Amino acid sequence: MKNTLLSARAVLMKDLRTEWRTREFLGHTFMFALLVIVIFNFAFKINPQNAPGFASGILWISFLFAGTLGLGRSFLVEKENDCIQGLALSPVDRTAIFLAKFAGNLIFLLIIQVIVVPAFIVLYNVNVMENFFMQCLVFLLGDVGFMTLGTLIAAMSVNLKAREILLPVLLLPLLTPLLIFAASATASLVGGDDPSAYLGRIRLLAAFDVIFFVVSLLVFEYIMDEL
Amino acid sequence: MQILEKILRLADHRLVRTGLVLASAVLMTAALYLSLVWAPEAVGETDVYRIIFFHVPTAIMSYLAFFIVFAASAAYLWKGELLFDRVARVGGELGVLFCSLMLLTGMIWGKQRWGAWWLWEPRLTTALILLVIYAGYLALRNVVDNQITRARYAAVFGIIGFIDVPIVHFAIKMWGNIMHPVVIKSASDTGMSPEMTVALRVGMLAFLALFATVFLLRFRLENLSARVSSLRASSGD
Repeated sequence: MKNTLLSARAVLMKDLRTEWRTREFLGHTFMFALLVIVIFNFAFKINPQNAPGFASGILWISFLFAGTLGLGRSFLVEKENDCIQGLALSPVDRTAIFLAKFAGNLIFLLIIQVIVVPAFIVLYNVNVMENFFMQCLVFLLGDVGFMTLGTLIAAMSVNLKAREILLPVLLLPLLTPLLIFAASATASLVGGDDPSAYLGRIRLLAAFDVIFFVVSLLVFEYIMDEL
Repeated sequence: MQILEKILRLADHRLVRTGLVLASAVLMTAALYLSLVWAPEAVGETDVYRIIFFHVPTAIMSYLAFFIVFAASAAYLWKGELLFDRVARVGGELGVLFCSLMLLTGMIWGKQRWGAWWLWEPRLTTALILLVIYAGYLALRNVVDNQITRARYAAVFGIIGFIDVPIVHFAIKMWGNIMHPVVIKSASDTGMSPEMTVALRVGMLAFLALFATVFLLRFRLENLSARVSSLRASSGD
């Protein structure tokens, strides 16, 4: 167990270090997420009156889009640099590789959110972080579920012929429940609803995360063997 | 495993295949007669209600097919036998087929009853997401050339997809308004006249026979084509 975590940390640190040296991808993805937010303004003709109602949907869509871009990249860098065999051959537990990639993707999405959410608040004048801790919890739980299934599907799609399109096509339908739980919890926090309205959803999000985290850990080795 | 091989050997007999096709044809004709002619008119419904005799069986067949995908995927990961992978593939194809039929029949009924082809209602939306998940499953199978890789990826996706189904249904139920009628509430309260129940049962039987026939023929074809490729590979062609 300890060895697994240590090797996971090694892989994660390698990923973070390579990204830090260029900082290219993070910057581009942030610009993309920001663009999604801006484009929604024109698509829906958003004004101060209707903005709170759209807030949750716009945010989660931009997270999903930006996160999917990040996921596509996470295994692709290994493939482009011919490192994937090295990773697969290294004498570490498969679980460690899954955990490392999962953590890397999660950190990536969290950084995007730390920049995009304030930008959203400024641009739309809707304070989505009124209930700060609860909203952070919703974001975190949503991200964990998203990146759990995302890492699994990304590992699978990196070897496919049409990987750019297949990753979202395979992933997004699976994420429907997560999007429903997370977006409705965020919406209910923005609307200042009674805790009973969002606590149930937060519990459901947590349940989704636990179920798919366990299943992904169990099945990841079958995918890793084929990388 | 052994039972699958037995089924395959059985399907090798032309008589068995013809018998199955004939049986489904006869049952389907009977189901058509019973549901379109023999079953009485329903109170408060136009004749379009008769689509239920096809809608319900296709729905059940699609869920059966998706369960087959799940069971065969799990069996493949456990045993590593490609025979299970072929079962999963055929299950996925039939599932997508019957799920589309269920949606289409439901939409035709909805158009005259609700005045709209589609409502974002829990059961409809769940079925649509299900269709997209399993269409993705087939797409995934199509883009992987190596058969071991394909079998593994498909099995993993088949398992994840099936686990997702009840969660999707639950989430969408929480999110939408229920409009879909529930006719059959329990075994004793079917909400239908005895004639309708008979028509529905025969419809179920007909679709079950159709399902078994198509499944067997497709499964056999899948195995034959696998044999051809392995023969080709071994002869260096």
